[in-house]
Amino acid sequence: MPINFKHIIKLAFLILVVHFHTILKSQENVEKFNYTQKDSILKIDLQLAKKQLYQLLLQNLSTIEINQQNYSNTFNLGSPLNVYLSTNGLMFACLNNNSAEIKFSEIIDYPFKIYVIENNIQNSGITTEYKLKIGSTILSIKNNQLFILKKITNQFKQLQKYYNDFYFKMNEFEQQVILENSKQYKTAITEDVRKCIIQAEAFTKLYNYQKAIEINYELISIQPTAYPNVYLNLAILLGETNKLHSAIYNMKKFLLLTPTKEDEQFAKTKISEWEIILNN
Amino acid sequence: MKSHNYNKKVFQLLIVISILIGSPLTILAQSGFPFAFGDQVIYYPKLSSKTQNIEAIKLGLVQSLKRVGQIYDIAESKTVTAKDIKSINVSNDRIDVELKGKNNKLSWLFSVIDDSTMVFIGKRNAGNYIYLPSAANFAFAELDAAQQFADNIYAIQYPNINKVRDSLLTVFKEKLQKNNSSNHEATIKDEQKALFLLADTASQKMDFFGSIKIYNKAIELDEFSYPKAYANLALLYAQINFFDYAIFFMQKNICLETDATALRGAKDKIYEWEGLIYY
Repeated sequence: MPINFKHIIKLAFLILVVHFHTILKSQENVEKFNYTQKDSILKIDLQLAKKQLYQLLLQNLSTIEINQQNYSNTFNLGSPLNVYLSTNGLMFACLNNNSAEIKFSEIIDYPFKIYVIENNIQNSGITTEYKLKIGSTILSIKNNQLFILKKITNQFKQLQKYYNDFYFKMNEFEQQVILENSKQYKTAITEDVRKCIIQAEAFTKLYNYQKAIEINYELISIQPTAYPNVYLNLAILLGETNKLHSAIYNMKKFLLLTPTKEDEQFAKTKISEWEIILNN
Repeated sequence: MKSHNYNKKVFQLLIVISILIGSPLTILAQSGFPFAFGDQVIYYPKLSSKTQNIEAIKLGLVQSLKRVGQIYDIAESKTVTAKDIKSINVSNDRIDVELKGKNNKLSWLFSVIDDSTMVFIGKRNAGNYIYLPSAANFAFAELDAAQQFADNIYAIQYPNINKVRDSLLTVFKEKLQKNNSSNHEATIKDEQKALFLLADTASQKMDFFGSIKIYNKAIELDEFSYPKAYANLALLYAQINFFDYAIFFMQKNICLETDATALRGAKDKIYEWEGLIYY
């Protein structure tokens, strides 16, 4: 029986195709595994940061003083009796059933800066107070122990970093970008997305930045990677509304979506600009 | 039949506006911003969300009507002031204002309100007026109360506005189909051309109301000869914040337009105006 080379070549080609497919599939799985693994590590780090902050507050409970801001009034709740850690935030239990709460979801864009207040008291010279304002709750430290407040602030900053990494789903987004880039043809934007682009632009022109931000987030929820400029626009709008952490995260997402050299340079400059503002 | 009603509504609106304005002294007009001329400002009502809750609408109407200064009831030709009002009740199908004295009551069914084009005008230092030509006129001292009342009235009207617009467009499309099958040549008559030029001159002078009137007149001569007339008319309506009319005429333009770029632009404009209504 004569050997049919045609069949052998066909078979070899088929095996090759199957092999390549398996390699690609496994690569995809590895990437997916990497992203889920990164996320679970992040979750552990976040939990750890929460616990460390809780421990730190617990240790220094007697030196802390809580002030609660309510509209234009500030109420002194004194030293907290206890502090509780929950999945949503921290709660300080104070005298007379008073309490103050710091929600983790509200720390995304906090600048975490220590304020120095100098009081000139007659015959007693100048007394200095150090305060850390987190939303409507103000933490102050007795006896000028600034180092404790600095420690607490740094721990809050650490928690904020992990929380934001988790909240803005950077690992998942990186994965989405890899998948999008591996496609032969880029995903076309849908009419719904087009609508969001137009409406966000209209509200930006009307200086209604809050609405424009909402619409841009709506766009992202429909097609996260189809229209890269949404991240640039969103970052600028967030920057304008003083939400600098959110602005930086969205600009980083924009950078992942391979912008032009000019846009890349602009985005990097903006990020450093916002970082300088946050660190000063 | 509905189509006739709607055209009647446009006509009614134009009459109301022309009575209110007298001579147009137009300044500062930009889509989305309150349209101002002289000491008058036309506001556009907004929807609080994409889906409307009847309980929230009822509450909003009661709250805002508690701050009304004066009401003129068209059916009874009667003017009442805030001090004459005993109680306000809003049910699922009507607004009832009970007045002091025996069997004294003003009532407006939602179905009547539905069929009335609302005009909301604010006058600097002279109150805010909401005109519902088939029901009543309302005067408010505070702008926020007037805006709240107008927004809630608009929330009642909005589902019907959409329905009417859809049915009118269906009629328009059928007419267009007939026109296309009869091989009617699309030529702009001299008379029509002259009116379009006149309308453009009026809009250049920022006389948007005058321009709208002339455009409507010109379109009546031949509905299908000049698709861009609908786009221009839509843009004029948007200039004075009548976004529902703007959407309607832009949709007519889409039915006629063949140029892809112009079509894209028209759709985008509709998206923009829908956004301004919803938020």
